[in-house]
Amino acid sequence: MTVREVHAIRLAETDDVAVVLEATREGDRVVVAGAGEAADLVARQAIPQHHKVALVALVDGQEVRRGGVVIGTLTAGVAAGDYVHVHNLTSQRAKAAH
Amino acid sequence: ISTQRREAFPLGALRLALECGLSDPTSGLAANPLLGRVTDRLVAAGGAAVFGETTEWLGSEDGLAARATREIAADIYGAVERRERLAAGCGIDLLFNNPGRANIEAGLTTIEDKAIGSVAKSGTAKITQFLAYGDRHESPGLAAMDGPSYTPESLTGLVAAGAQIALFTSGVGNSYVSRIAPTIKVTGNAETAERLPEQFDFVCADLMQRPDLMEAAADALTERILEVASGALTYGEILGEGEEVVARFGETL
Repeated sequence: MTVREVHAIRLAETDDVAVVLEATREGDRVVVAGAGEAADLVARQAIPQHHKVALVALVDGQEVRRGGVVIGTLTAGVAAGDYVHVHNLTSQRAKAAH
Repeated sequence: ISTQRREAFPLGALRLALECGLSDPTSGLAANPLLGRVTDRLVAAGGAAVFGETTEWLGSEDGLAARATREIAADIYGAVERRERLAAGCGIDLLFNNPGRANIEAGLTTIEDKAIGSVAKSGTAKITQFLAYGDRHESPGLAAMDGPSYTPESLTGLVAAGAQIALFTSGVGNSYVSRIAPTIKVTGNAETAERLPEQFDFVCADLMQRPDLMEAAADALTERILEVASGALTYGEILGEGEEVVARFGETL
């Protein structure tokens, strides 16, 4: 089976996640372009179009950066290639509002 | 009104309202950055623009504050804090519906994630005025308005500031337009544009794969704005859409 290639955009150089431009299947090769160096990783789960993929390994409770700002904290550790969304990423500000 | 006749004005005579609604990740990566680019050019030409949606500054306040005087920066932080307190005071989750279900299904995860894309529509120009909801904006330059995120109320407030034309981006699709100000609907989502052809006046989906086309897209959108300013109709006007919605007593978040 050939490995499918999909593209992802990194918004700022220091970002921990990128946005996939197409629906991504587990095992797809994700080619990351945009700010910072080009990167390549393997999707570890299916990721819907325009959702986020982790670019690096991060631990439970760690802050996640996108667009140069913190967009939330993880509720579970992730490896590079993992799908990042509401199931493992929570807002800091929404919590603070309570 | 019927005795009025057209006169020529330069680009810098324009005052735009900048709005986003039912956003998805393409909003923050294509459509809103495009609005930002057009806004930068307009402000440089002596024109004016105003943006609002205070809760969608959460997480990105530092970036906005850095573009403002100390006083306006304080207004920005204060406006966000006030909305957070307002919600807590009502005993409700400020951000219960922001991002909403449609935003989340489309890929926006948290308010901070959504805010990056939302503030992108304000470009990079200095923020030279801070307005309360519905305040008049009479000077040139870019203004921030403390207002609700709910599009109809937000856009009504921006138009009340004096905007002649609204630029309104949507990712998943949003039929709202202003009744008073011709509203140019913009999307960066190719699938949405295909599904809702009479909802969007300008499609910039190619920016997702080709961000290098930004200047050309800004040229094209500026051209479209000038056409509308000169009398070309937007879809909203053709289809008879549009209403004005004033923020309700007791405020909306």
